[in-house]
Amino acid sequence: MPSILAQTNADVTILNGAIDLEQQAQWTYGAAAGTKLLKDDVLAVALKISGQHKEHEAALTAAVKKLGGTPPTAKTSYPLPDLKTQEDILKYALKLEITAANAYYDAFTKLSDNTLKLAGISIMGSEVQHVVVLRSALNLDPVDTSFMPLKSA
Amino acid sequence: MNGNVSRRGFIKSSALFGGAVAVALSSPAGLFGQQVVAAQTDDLSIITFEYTLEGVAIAAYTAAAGLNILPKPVLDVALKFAGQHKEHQAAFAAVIKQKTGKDPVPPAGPFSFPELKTTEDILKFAKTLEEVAVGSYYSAVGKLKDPQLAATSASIFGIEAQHVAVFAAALQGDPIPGAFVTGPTEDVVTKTATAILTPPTTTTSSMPTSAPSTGAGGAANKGDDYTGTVLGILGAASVAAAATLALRNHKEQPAEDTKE
Repeated sequence: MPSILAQTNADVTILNGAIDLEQQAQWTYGAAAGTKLLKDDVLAVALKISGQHKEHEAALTAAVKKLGGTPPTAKTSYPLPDLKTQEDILKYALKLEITAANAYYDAFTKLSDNTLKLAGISIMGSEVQHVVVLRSALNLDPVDTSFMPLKSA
Repeated sequence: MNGNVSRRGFIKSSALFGGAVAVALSSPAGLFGQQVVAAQTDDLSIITFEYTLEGVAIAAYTAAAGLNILPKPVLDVALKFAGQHKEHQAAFAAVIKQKTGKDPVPPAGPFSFPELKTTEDILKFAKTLEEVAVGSYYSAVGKLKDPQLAATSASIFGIEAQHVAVFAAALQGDPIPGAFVTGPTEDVVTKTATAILTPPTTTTSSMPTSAPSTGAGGAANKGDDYTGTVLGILGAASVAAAATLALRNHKEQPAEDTKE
């Protein structure tokens, strides 16, 4: 059975992976806003979603520090596909949100600490709701699966 | 852990059911519901409660569909979600059968649903039920010992959270009100589930919805508010609703958007 320390280190690694996804999401929504392709109401939603990713990052960062770990610093840029239309942006954002939601589901099965598992699930609940909003905006069925993980966009 | 844990903003079961919870009957049906709710001390009783709640959701959607007042797009969503709840129910039924050797029996009712006269009544009740489901699964994942059962509950939690967002949007509300989703507390889940699973007394009429009246018009005209495809309703409503709230709450505007 892994030592407590090994379990803690493993948990920190998982949480840091989640922080990276949250940082990527915020950067991506910022880049999307910068394209000026988003209509006002869609831009407002994107900014709101990004703000929630910021809250997720803050919570995860606090958890990592509490465990004695070091959270990652946000990168200066992340991969971005060619974005020519609002629809392109929404599709890419959806892809990121699905990835994040599924990552939190996977994290749940691997984290050793119950408090962290619950925190992760509460964030997963937010990501899956982002998926609903983006799928609705793309005129896709908002809830297209009965169980996690979500299907790829 | 820091964070905006969003347990608040949930319609209290007492508000939903107009004040007093129905007096418990000593009928077997009533006891079944309360016993199931009161248990939840071990994995089997926890998943039996989840199984029961899924049955309640299916019954509620079936009853709502049977009222024949839902516009087709909303009916389609209700039936689809009922189908998803059936899959959840089946997943737990399989585990319960495995553990006990017996097929579990879904709750038969009669249930104490609130009065459902309009599409809006149905949407509000559906949202409440889905929120209760979210809260119940959140509590369950914290208590289940078997990692497989915990994973199944976490999985279903995600889908119920999506159901909540869909109904929030359909009600012209915010589909993403909080960054951390936990649903209502175990206490509220228990009280609401108990209230619903307790059959109405023979002397009382069906329980009123006490969700605040919007002053909406009669049922005959209400359907007009929900015309259009499901995707149109949800796409426009969810984006618009979230946008409205985002604009209201957005504190730091980018420089070029700032208006004095």
